[in-house]
Amino acid sequence: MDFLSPLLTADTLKISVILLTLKVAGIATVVSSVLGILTAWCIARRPFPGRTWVDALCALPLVLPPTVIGYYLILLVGRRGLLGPWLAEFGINLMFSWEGAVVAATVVVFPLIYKSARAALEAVDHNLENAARTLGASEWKVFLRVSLPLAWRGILAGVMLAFARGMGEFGATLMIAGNLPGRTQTLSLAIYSAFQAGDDAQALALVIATSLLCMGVLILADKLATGGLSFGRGA
Amino acid sequence: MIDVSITHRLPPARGAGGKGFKIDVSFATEDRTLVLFGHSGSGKTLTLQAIAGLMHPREGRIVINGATLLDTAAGIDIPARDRGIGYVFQDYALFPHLSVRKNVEFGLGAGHRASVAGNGSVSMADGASGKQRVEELLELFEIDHVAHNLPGNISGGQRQRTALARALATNPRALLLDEPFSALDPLLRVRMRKEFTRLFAHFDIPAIIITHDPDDVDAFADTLVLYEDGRIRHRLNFRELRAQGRPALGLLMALMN
Repeated sequence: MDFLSPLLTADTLKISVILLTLKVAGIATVVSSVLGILTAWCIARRPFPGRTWVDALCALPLVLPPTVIGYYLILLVGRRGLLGPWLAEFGINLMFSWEGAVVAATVVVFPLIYKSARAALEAVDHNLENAARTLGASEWKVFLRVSLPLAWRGILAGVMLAFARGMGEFGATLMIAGNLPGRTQTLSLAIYSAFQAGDDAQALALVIATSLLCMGVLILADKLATGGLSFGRGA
Repeated sequence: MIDVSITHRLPPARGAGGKGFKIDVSFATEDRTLVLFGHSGSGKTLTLQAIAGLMHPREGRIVINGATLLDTAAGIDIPARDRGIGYVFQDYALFPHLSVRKNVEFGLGAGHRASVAGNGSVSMADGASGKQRVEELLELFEIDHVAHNLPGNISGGQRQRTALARALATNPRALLLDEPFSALDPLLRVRMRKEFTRLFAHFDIPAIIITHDPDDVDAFADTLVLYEDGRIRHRLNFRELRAQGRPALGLLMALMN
């Protein structure tokens, strides 16, 4: 059990790495949730020309290699990218910053939330939404009071999955935010660095920490999904 | 009071082939209750959806109590939320995540009367008077003791009363009921029919009721419209027949064959 002892020293188990990872994954999940749920709502509502294309575009980060996503993001928000100079005017520089890691994680987890939100929103009984409309509800009220609460459980599953995926994000983050210890180095990047440097104790400590965090997320997701409101038989 | 004329063509269901479904109906009445009778798939529900603004006919004109809700020739198509039409769905469509009280309160404060021209009664479904109206409805419909329950945890009759109370809470200009009693067991059906007769008289609100149960026709029809395959086959003033005590069943059988 000798190899476990370094795990217990605060120096090896870098709390700051874990906190940064949670911060990046957390913010990315929140941003992606808002964008993903609203996009899913717009697309699920009714067919429009080009809907298949928009849907495919929204799901694309799911299948694209993370390095490709990273490359696109550099083309978009890099210093000489499409939006880079414009962002610089506001003093925003996403390259090699933790905010850049958030952007990368946001794009990578977006499809997980979008997909589950669309499926959950489309599964809501249209008669309930129509009933709300005949009762004078605006489309926004229909969404907030009827569709969203009824789809919430399905959406939540995607949100938790997105958070877990965001914690493990590697490729796109590496390309846009780099691997700067103490600044942009998240758990998976730190594991890779420790392994490359031959620091097996640190790598193992971080691997175990990551595994525990992900287990925690999955258990929490399960608790939320099964322990939430029970509506009984729908009337 | 009620003046409806719509033409619409639904495309054939995917993979079903055929020529789709065409609806072309027109009826008008000054009576309080109008019953649409006919086989399943004859266009009755489509008609109610068009009146409520949930379906948009290619051509048509719908006027309720002087308010023009739809006039395709004049480019008028009031959105569903502004039509002030109370709709009781066949499966009630109660919000399963909201209590009975929240369901009944749902339409309060929507202010849907503002943008509809016409002489509809002034909405009192706002603010304190709206809350008071909800309390009165909960009591009147005998669902005040289950007001905190979710719709999944109340009986079929209570569910139906909740659906009707919810539709009436917004003080609608007309009430649409899609097979209101079909989900109830026979004994409850008889009782709810009696209750509804009393309530319709109490609220004095024009109602259009879909059914394929002759007993509903006996209980409610002032005017009877017989649907067949997207068209109106007969239109009868049923009030006189009812006054003569003639049961609807024989008459309907003769007319539908």
